[in-house]
Amino acid sequence: MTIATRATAHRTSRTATRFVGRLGFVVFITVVSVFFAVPMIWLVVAPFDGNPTMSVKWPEWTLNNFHRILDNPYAFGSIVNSLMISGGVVALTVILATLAAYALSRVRIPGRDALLYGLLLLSSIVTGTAAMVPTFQLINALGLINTQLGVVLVMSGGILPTVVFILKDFMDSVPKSYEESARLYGAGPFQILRDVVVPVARPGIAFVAVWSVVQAWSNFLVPFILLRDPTLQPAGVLMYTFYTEAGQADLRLISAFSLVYTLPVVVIYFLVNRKFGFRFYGGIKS
Amino acid sequence: MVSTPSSVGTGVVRARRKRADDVAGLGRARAAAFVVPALLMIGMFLLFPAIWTIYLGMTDYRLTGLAAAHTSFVGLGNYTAAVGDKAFWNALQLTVVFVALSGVIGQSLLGFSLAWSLRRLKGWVRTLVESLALAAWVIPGSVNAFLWIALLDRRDGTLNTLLNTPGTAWLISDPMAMIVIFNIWVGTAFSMQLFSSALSAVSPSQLESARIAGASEFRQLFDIVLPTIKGHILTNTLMITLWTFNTFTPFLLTAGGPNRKTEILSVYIYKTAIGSGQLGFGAAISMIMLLINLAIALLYMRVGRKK
Amino acid sequence: MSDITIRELVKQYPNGVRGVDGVDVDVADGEFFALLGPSGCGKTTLLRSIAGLESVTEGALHIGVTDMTHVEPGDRGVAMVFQDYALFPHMDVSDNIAYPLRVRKVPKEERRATAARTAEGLSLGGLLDRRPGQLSGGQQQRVALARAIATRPDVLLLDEPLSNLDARLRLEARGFLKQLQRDLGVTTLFVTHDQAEAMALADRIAVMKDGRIQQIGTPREVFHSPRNTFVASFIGSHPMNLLPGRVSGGRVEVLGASLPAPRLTVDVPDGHEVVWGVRPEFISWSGTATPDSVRAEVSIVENLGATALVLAKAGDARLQCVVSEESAPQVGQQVWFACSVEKTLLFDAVTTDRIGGGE
Repeated sequence: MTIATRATAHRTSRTATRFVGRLGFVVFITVVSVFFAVPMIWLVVAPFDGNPTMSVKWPEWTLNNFHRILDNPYAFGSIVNSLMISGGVVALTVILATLAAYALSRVRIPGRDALLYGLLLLSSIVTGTAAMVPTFQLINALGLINTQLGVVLVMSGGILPTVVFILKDFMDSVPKSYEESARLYGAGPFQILRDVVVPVARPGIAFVAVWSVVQAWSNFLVPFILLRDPTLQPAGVLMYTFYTEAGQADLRLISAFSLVYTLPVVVIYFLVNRKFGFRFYGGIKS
Repeated sequence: MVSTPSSVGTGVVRARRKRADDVAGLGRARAAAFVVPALLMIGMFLLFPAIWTIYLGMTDYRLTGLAAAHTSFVGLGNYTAAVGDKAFWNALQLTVVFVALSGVIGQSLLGFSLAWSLRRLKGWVRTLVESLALAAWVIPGSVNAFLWIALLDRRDGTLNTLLNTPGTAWLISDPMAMIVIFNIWVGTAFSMQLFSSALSAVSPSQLESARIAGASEFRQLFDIVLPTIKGHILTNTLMITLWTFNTFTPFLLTAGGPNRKTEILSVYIYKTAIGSGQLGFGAAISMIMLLINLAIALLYMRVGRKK
Repeated sequence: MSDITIRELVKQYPNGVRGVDGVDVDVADGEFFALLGPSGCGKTTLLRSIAGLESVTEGALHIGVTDMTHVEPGDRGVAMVFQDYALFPHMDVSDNIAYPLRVRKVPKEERRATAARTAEGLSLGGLLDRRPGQLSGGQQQRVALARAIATRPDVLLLDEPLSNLDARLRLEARGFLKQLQRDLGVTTLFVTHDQAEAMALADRIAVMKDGRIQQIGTPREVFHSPRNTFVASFIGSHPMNLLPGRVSGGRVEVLGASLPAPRLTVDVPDGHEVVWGVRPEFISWSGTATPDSVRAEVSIVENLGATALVLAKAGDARLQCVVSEESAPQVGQQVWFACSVEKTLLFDAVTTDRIGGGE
């Protein structure tokens, strides 16, 4: 073989490997996309199908399924419950975490870093699943079983360490000269907090607020254990009741309800994800 | 040149406060007052339950019945009972398989493969694939579980149509495989995102000099990329281990059945403690679970610090 | 009266490092005063201690007759412009300027009027509705100044006021700042690491190093009569020539020659080791030997526009001089450097204090 032909052969085999690689890439991406997409198609199609079944099929277009949500005695209420629980969790965590994060960021408290890491460690160890028994017991003993307050307190306690940590990190990046400047003009600590720190830290606060909403909205286990009364249960628990209760599952209701329950959190998530990027994922689900 | 505002002159004598010794003028006492409410919440609803578990696990506390009224201390009785309980060992074994297959292997590998294949892509293909994986991660658990129940349905399920296997009841014939695949489907987005941000931090000039030296894609992967993102691999593995170990979502799909074939530890605790009301015994199992979590977290910190 | 009296001020950090180490300063009412020194010399810490943003470990601080050593910053009658300006990003220019008035619960209408008037005085009239992010660096600086003076403070503090501006804008802002200070007549302290800035702006300068004051004086004093070699080398756009020498019979042996010594302020014996100093601007050269001159060989000539910087070697020593660009020597040329004895300085080689020369 001459050098020229050898080079040609080499080049041909290079092209061949590249082609196989390219083909493999396309096949892999296609298969994975199908794997992820197939289960979700039902959620997009069935709510608009006049006669939904378990299978994915071209729908008989209708919006009547959404009326079912209003017809059901619990469905609409459960969305309201979800809103109330999420709202309570956000209000509680954001207010407590803002105060704590600000003080931790600005005042030298001995053992501060150890405290923060300890709290983070605690929240990753004491998960909802591992602590479901004592949590149930505690809420029982406090007489908060079957109350939304109990759910809000337990969820808030669980996500507070992460929220404080994120917010403290954020506040560390806010220049201290803002506060020093306000302080020189005679502003007191609360005034500084209200006029300067909270407005300047607004993106960080918005971020943790959204994060908390997503957490609370999607949480199944805590309300599942602590709430027995279906008029108090949030959408996540009711959804489970819908498809596990005896008798024929009402697929019109389930499909429409699934979509209404899912859509807000997906929309929020993609909006925030676009704005904040990967930071949003750390410990999103527990 | 500059006009003088008259009303706020310097002549106003104000009571002069003593200065506090930090940027914000908070002072230690007020700073503590800011921190304490959050700490109380965490202490009450996170730390206290964990500690209380130690005590609860040594009682025969029950939700209903005689022992509900007269709880007695049983020492390590619950632990010896757990060790003797076949269902406990079954749950532990299933959990190990579940964590290993769906988390450590499934999510990590698929997540990394996706990040690696998509790393140089821009445009709609990447957005589409990433969004699909992300959507699975974001959709609430009880909806996700039903989507899979529909997918795997014996009569009308889409999977049977696609594979042309009519009448196969996947959740009965292969329940463990199903929850493993389900969990990969749910959780891969995390690994994918973590690895793709890690890969974007690998210096392009290093890869280019390797390419100029004639290194193949695989050589680049093993010689340059993997060593660089070692830390991320560690983080990913341990985060996923913790989450998979503590997930409760498979319960929504199979409720531990059929015949305890998918009764992982979290489901086992729920069924014994809340389902059949043996809170004392359930607390003992919770304690074991907490200790395993602690071990995983400490291992992570240990290995992480060594680097 | 808002003069400032600082006595034996010490700021010690928890790790034992003294940021400010026993400082005495008196600033007169209405004076424009500069704290000058290299980074880490404690000048910013001193400024922040005056503001009350740093706690004081020892010593006392009075503004007027009031002891302010431990008074809350907001009660000192002090305003400060921060290096990064610290304009609140969520407030427009008007609200930023009026913020100090809002803290003092001045009614809204009056606040707006004051803000508008102050802004007008600083040529910010059309910008009242803008956010800080929409302003240029120079405009931001003026907004920060407007906010600081809106309350007519007793003392105005400026932390590196010009460092965030680009070079061209800096000159303009320098003139503006000087004019403003004169118009307001407010006691003003500013911190800078740029000696040219301090020389141009200040009535008096305190040169600092390692937490201590090296010299306090007018720009003329620190330039012509530096107290020690540190001040001598820090002040001036070209570093002073400082060369080791020896006193001998009323003359100095330096650079292998014997040159006339300036008037000594301290009696030293013959043979005493000294450092001989002269500014590059005060050296002239000639192509032939002259009395009391030093022979050297030109190694580099840098053109600075109107002038040229000549670097030359005399034996092992290096000598710099600044001459008119048209009359600069050639590289490699043998030259004789001379200078007027009144312009030379002598420092003790051990203590580095000035022992001869100066005004």
